[in-house]
Amino acid sequence: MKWDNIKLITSFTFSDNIRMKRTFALVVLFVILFVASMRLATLTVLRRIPGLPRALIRISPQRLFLNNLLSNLALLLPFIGVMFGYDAISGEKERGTLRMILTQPIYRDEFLIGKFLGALSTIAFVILVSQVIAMGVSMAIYGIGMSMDLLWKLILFMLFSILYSISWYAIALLISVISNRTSYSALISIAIALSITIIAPILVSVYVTMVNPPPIFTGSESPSARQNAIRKWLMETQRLRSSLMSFLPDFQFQRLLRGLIGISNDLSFQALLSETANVLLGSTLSLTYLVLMALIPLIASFMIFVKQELK
Amino acid sequence: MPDLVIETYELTKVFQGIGQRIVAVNEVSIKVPNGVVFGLLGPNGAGKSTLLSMLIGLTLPTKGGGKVLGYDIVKESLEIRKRVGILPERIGFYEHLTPVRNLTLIGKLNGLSGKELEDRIKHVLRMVGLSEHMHKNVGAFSRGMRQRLGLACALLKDPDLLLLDEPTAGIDPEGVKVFRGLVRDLSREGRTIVISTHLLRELGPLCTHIAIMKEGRILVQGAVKEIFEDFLLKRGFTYDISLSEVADQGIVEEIKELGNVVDVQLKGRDLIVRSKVDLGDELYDMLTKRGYRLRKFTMRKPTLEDVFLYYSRGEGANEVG
Repeated sequence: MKWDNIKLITSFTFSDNIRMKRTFALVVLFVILFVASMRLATLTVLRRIPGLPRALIRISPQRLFLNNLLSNLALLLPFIGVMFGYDAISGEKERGTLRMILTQPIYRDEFLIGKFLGALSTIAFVILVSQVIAMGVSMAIYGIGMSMDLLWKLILFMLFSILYSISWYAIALLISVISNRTSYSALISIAIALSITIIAPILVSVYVTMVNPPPIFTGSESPSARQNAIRKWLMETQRLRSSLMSFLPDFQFQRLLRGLIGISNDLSFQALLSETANVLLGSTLSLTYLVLMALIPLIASFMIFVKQELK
Repeated sequence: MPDLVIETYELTKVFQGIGQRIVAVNEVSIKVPNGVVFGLLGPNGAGKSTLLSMLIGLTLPTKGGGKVLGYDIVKESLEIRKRVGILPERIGFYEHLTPVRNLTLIGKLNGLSGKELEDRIKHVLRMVGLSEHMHKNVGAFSRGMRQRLGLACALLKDPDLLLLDEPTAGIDPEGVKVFRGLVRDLSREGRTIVISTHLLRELGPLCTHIAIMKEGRILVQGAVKEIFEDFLLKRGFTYDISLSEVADQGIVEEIKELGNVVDVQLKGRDLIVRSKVDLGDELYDMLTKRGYRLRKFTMRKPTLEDVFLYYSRGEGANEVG
């Protein structure tokens, strides 16, 4: 394997992606998302504690901000991965550029690694740049200060966002490797992303309600019995929902990041590291799930691509 | 450089689909000598592109093997791609980039860099006549310009062997003319050029050697001159004769008596004579001695289409020369 070829394809893919309008659109969307999350958090806190000096808002809206951000990211990140992955190979096939490249002295695995690293850098770039811009904007407009723990959590958010997005990229890449047509791979990739992030949670809720319907009261029960029945129903609903949702990547990503949001504030850097390590150890299952979600389609893509007949 | 730049033995490619098995290339053994222009001729779907793909390791053979420039097509395909300039069929470029940027990528993949790469890019763009378009995006290029850019890509590494797959498909006549000129120039420089095409009239005349392919098989291969001689020997000679006056039927019998005559057709003053051997002199003498004045006396020159049709109908032998 020749590292020079991988570097070349990586930098070419990165510069190609950066020029695309969709990358610019993503940065703008991310900035809006960040700023909106920040604004929503400050508004909520201000409404709760009227008359609170702005300087004190620094810490209190942090959790709200990160929670808002997490919900938005969980929805958006799959589509970022899909956006850079759906035409990674099928687009090259369709345009005839894959044929042009592969008739040169380059192995297919070098090409695919280069494409993957190019996409990884682009996704990291989009998330990093938009976070920096958004934090700058938020600090300037809302006077929100940056604390070390917030910065640390944002860095971790960024790293796991990249991992989550890349796992979706890997799925789209696999479809793109199998497909010869961009429209087909786009359609399938978006359908999968929509099914898993939006449709599956709805179906889970419907299913849970069907198998665990709310209790029906005749009117003869005592208030405490009613309360107990409702509490029991809610607990069972929650248990069923969680166990079913745990199969979904969105759930694992949110679980991992919610653990990080829970890290105490105002800790020394040493203590921050130690608590982060504890959270990550406690989220090994979620982490493994996300890593495997990226690795399995990636390995499958490699295995198919190196043996694929070019039509 | 080996005497045979390409040599394959029983090269076979079978595509397995759901419920179907397509033999794209069937036990093909070809030999391409150094320094020739080799035409791989055949209709669409004959297996030409698959054969070329196998030669550069883009497609793995199901059976058989071969060598290109002395390198094994399966085990050393990267070495082949380092040394062979390839213009694949349906080549594409990054449309939003200039030819220079497209060529820079190709050059770097071939280990070129810096000033050397810059000079090579300028040189090949000049060779293919795209110098003045070097700063335009490829998206604005015509089909002919793209094919020339494809040729520039193939030439960037200054290869001794060029494989051109359907290089003139979809190009206008003017573009074909330019392309032919380019191939002639490259051939004069001593490069071996393999052209796969179904357009016999456009590129056939450039070839010094040909292989005719149909349904995955090579029907005939060898030097063009030898193939034509073989064709004439097997297919026979045809003479178109026009007399100054209407001939009587007796002349038909007289011509047949010359021996080796296959067929004589007389229609008024026009005669068509087909013979197994060259009877040109005997026929001319006989007709003039009989007192006929000849308005026309020509031997039909076979075209590449005639040769192709003859062999593709299964009338010819497998190898010539």
